[in-house]
Amino acid sequence: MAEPASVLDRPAAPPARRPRRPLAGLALLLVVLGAALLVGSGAFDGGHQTLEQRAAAFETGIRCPSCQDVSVADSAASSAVAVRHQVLADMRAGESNAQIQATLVDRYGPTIVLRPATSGVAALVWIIPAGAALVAVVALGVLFVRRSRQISALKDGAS
Amino acid sequence: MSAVATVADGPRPRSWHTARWVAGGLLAVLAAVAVFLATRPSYQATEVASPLLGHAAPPFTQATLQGPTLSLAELRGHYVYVNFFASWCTPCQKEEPALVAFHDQQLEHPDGAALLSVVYDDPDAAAAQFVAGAGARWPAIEDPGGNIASSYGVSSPPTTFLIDPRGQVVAEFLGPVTKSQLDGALALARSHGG
Amino acid sequence: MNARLGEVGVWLGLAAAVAGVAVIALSLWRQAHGRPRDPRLDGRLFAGVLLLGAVLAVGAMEHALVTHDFSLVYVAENNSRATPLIYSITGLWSALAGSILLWGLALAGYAAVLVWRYRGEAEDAVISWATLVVYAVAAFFFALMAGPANPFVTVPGKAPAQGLGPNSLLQDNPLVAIHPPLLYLGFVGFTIPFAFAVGMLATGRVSDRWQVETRRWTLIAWTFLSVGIVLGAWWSYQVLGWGGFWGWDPVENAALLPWLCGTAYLHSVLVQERRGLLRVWNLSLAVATFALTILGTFLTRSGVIQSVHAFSESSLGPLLIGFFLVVVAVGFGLIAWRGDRLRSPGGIDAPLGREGAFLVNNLLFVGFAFVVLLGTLFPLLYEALKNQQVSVGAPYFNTVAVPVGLALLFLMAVAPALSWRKVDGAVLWSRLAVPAWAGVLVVVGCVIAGVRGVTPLLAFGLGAFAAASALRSLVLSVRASRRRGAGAWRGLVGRTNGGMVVHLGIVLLAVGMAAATSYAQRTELALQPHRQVTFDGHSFVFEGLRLVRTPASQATQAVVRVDGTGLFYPAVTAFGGGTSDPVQTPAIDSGFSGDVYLTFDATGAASQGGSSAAQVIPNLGANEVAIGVVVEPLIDWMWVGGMLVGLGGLLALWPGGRRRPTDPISAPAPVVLAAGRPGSDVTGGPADGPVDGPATDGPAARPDGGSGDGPAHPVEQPEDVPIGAERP
Repeated sequence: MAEPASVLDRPAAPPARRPRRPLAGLALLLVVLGAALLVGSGAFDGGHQTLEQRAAAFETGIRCPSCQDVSVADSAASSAVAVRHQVLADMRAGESNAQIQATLVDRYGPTIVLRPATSGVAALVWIIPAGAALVAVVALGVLFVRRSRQISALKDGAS
Repeated sequence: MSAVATVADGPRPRSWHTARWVAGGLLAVLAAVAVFLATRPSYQATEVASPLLGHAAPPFTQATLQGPTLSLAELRGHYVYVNFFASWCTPCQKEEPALVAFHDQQLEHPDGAALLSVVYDDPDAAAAQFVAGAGARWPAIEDPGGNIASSYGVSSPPTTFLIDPRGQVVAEFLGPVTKSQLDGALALARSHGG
Repeated sequence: MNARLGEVGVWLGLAAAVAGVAVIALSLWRQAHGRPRDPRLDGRLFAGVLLLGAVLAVGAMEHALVTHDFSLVYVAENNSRATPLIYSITGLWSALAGSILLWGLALAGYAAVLVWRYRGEAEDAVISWATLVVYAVAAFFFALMAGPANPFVTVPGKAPAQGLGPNSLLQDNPLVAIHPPLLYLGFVGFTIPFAFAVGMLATGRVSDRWQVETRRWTLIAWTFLSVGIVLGAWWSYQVLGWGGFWGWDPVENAALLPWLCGTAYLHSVLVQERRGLLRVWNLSLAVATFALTILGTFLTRSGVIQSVHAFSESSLGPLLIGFFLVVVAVGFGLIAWRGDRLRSPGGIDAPLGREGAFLVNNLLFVGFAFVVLLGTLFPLLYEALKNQQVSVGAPYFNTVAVPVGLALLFLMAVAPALSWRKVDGAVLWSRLAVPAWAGVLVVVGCVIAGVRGVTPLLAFGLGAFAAASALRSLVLSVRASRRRGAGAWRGLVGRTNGGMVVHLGIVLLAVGMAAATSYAQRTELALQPHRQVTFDGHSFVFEGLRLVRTPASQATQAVVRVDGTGLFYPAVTAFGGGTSDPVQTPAIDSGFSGDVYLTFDATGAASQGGSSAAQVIPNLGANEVAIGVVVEPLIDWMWVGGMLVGLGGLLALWPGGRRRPTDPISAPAPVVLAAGRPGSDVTGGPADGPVDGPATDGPAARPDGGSGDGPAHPVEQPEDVPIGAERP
C-alpha cells in the first residue's frame, strides 16, 4: 500500500488505548477554561463605565418610537435621535436610569421599554418559561429514575 | 454481552396514557390560543390611551413657519388641537382637507377651538410648501431638534392632540383624523369640562 | 384577459383539490368497508390538474405584471411602468393576494411530486390519507384565492395609466427574488410530513418506514426554509439601515418557529430510525411544525400584531386561525386518540447516551419555540388582561436565546460522539478530547488577544468545539470511505455527513452572530470633503455627492472612500419617480474580518434652511455630511454559514451507500424473539448497527457516513424483547 498521503488516507488505526485517567484530562481542561473565562469576563481589567457607555447600554432597552422592534441605540430615525439626546442630557444632569426611564414612559407610554418588567402581570413572560424549564428538568429526572429502576429490576430478574 | 442488548427493553407500563394527556392538553391550550387570536381586533390607528391624558400639555414657544413666534400658553382658555405633520407623510396629506374644513368652521365661532400644526422631522422649506399648498391658514410651528415632538411622545405623524382650556391633554389621535372625529372629540370634551 | 385566465386557473385548482378530497375519501371509505378497490377512484389524477390550475394562475399574474396590465387591482398597486423586469416578476409575492398564489403553486408542485413519487404504492392507505390531506390543504388555500384573497380583482371602470409601483423596500435589492420563494418552499414543504403523520395515525400504521420517508421530505423543506431565513436576515441587513439582521419581529419569529420544530424533528427521527423510540414525539413534531407554519401565515396576514414585515391587514385573519384550529384539532386529536398504542416498548437506557442527548435536544428546541411564541403573543395577552400595552423586544428574546444557543452548541459538539444505548466516559473522552481542547484554546487565544465578554467567549469556544467535533466526524467518514474503495467524496455525502456540514454552517452562523452583536461599534461621523476621519481602525474620506437617476428611482449618493481603497455609495433613494418616501440605501464594505456598514444620514445643506427634526449631529456644516458607520466583526461568517447549511442539506439528501445487511457490524445484533404486538403494525428499527468511528469499536465497523437512507426500505424486524419477559 502506498504511503498515506494525508490525514484522509490513513489506514484504520488500531483501537485507541483508553486514556488511563480521562477525569484528569477533563479536570485540567475545565481549569484552563475557567481561568480563561475569568480573565475574559473583564474582572481584572479594572475601569468603570463612562457616561456614554452607560447611555449606550441603557438605550438598547428603549424602543425607537417610530420604528418597530428596533432600539434607539440602533435606529437613526428622528424620534430615536431625539430620545438619545434626551437620555444623554438627563444622564449629564445626574438622573438615574430609573428616573430617565420613568420620564420616557410618561411621554411615550409603557411600550417604549423593550424589556418587560420583572414584577406584576408582565412578569408572567419571564415566569412561564422558567416554570416550563423547571417542569422539563423534573420530568426528565423522573423519567430517567423510573427507567433505571426498571432496568435494574430486569437485571435482577434476569440474573 | 448479549445481556446488555436485551436487558434494557422491557414492557412499558401502560396505565399512564401519557400521550393522551400531553396531546390532549396541548390541543386544549392551542385551541384556546386560536380562539383568543381569532377574537383580537386588527391593529387600528385611532384614538389612543395616551400617557399624557389628564396631564398638563408640555409647553412650547417657537417660531412659526409664517414668521412670528408663538407660545402654547397664549392659547390658554381655548380648546386647542395640536397636529403633528410632515410633508412626506401620506396620511397627513389625506387629513389636510378635514383640518381645513374644521378650521374654517371654528373660525365662525368666537369661542371656537384653535388649531396649531407642528412640523415633524421635515425640512422647514418642505413643510412650508406643504402648508401653503393645502391652503392651511393656521400657525405651523417649527420644531428644531424635535424637542416638541419628543416632549409629546410623538412617534410618527400624523398625531393630533386635543388640549382643554386649562391646558390639559384630553385626547390623542394617531393616524389621519376625519372632521367628524375632530368635531366629536371637541363636543365630548366640552360636555365634560365646560 | 389575464384576470379571466387567472381566475380560471384558481377555480380549476380548487375544483381539482375538492374533487381529489372527495374521491380519495370515497375510496378510503370503500376500503374500510371491505369493498374492492375501484381503479377509477384514483385521486392521483387530480394532482396534475391542481398543478395545471396553479401554473395557469401564476402564469396569468406574472404576465399581467410583466406587461403592466393595470386593469388588475393587484398589478395597479404593486407595479408601475418604470419598474424593472426583475421587480415586476417578484411583484407576484410583494403583497398579500399574490403571496397566496405563490403558496398555492408551491403546494400544487409538492402534491404533484408526492403523487408521482409514490405512484407505485397508491393502494397503500397511508399514501391515500397523505394525498387526501394535501388536497384538503390545497383546497383551503385555493378557496382563499377564489374568495377573500382574490388576486385577480379588476379595477372598476377604466384601468389607470400608471401603477403605484412596489413598496420601496421591495425593489432596492435583488434578494427579493430569492428569499420569499425559498421561504415558501420551506413552509409549504412541511405540509407533507404533516400529511404523512395524519396518514400514519389514521391508519394506525406507524411503521418506521413512513417516518423515515417523511424525513427526506422534511429535510428538503427544512433546507429551503433554513437558507430562506438566513437570506431574509441578510436582506434585512442590507436594506434596513441599522446594521442589524434580526429584530425578533413577529413575522421573523413566525418563520423561526416552524424551523425550530422542524430541526427537532429531523434529529428526533434518527432515534426512531435507530431504536424505534420517540415515535409520539416525532408525530407531534410533524404536526406542530405544520401548525406553526399556518400560525405564522396568520400572524403575517391578519393585522393582529403590527410589524414592518407584515402584509396589510385583511379579512383573512379569522379564516387562517380557523384553519390553524382545524389542523391542531386533527393532528393532536389523532395523537391523543392513538398515541398510546404507538409507543415503543423500549426506552432510553442511559440518560447520557445518544438517545438521551436527542431527547434533550428535542426539549431545547421545543422549549425555545414555546418561549418565542410566548414572547410574540404576550403583548396581545397582556392587553386583553389588563387593557394596557407592553413591549416584548430583543432584550427578552436574547436573554432566553443565549443560554439555549450555547446549550445547543454543546450538544452539537458532544452528541455525534455519544454511543447509542450506553455511555462510556473513557471512550467519550478519547473521542472528544481533541475537539474540546480546540475549543478551550480558542477561548484562551481570544482572551489573550483582548476579547472580553463571557457570553461571546463561550460562544466562540463551544463553536470551535462543535466545529472540531464535526470535522472529526467528517474526516473519519472520508477515511472509511476511501478504505472501502468508494472514493473520498462518498465520505462527504449522505445523511450524517451532510448533517456534519450543516453543523459546521451553524457554528459559523453562531460565531458570526456572537461577534457581530457583541462587538459592533457604531457612530455618526461628520465628514467634510476630502478630510480623513478615522474610527475603530478604519479611515473615511468623503469625496462628494452624486445624483443617480433610473426610470424607477432617484438616489442621492454620498461618495465615501473607506480605508483608502474602496469607494462606497451610501444613498437615500426615492422610488416611484420621487413621490414615495425616500429610503436609506446603505453601502457595505465586506471583508473576512468584518463589515463596515455606511448609511447616509444627513447633509449639512438640508439643515441650513431650518429643519424640524432631531439632528443626528448638531450644527452640521453646509458642506458636511453625516455618515452613520457601524463596524461589525465577522458578520459575513453568518452568510457563509447559511450557505454551508444549504450545502449540507443538499449533501444529506444524497442517497448514500445503502445499508447492506451483510456488512459486519461492531455491536452484536440483539436476540430476536417472538414477533409482533397485537393491535399495531410490526415495527422495529434496524439492528443496532455500527456506532461512531472505526477507531474505537473494532475493525471493519462502518461509520454512519456510508449508510445514507436512500430509497432503501430498512428491513423491518420484530422488536427486541427480553428473554423471559411476559407479553401482556
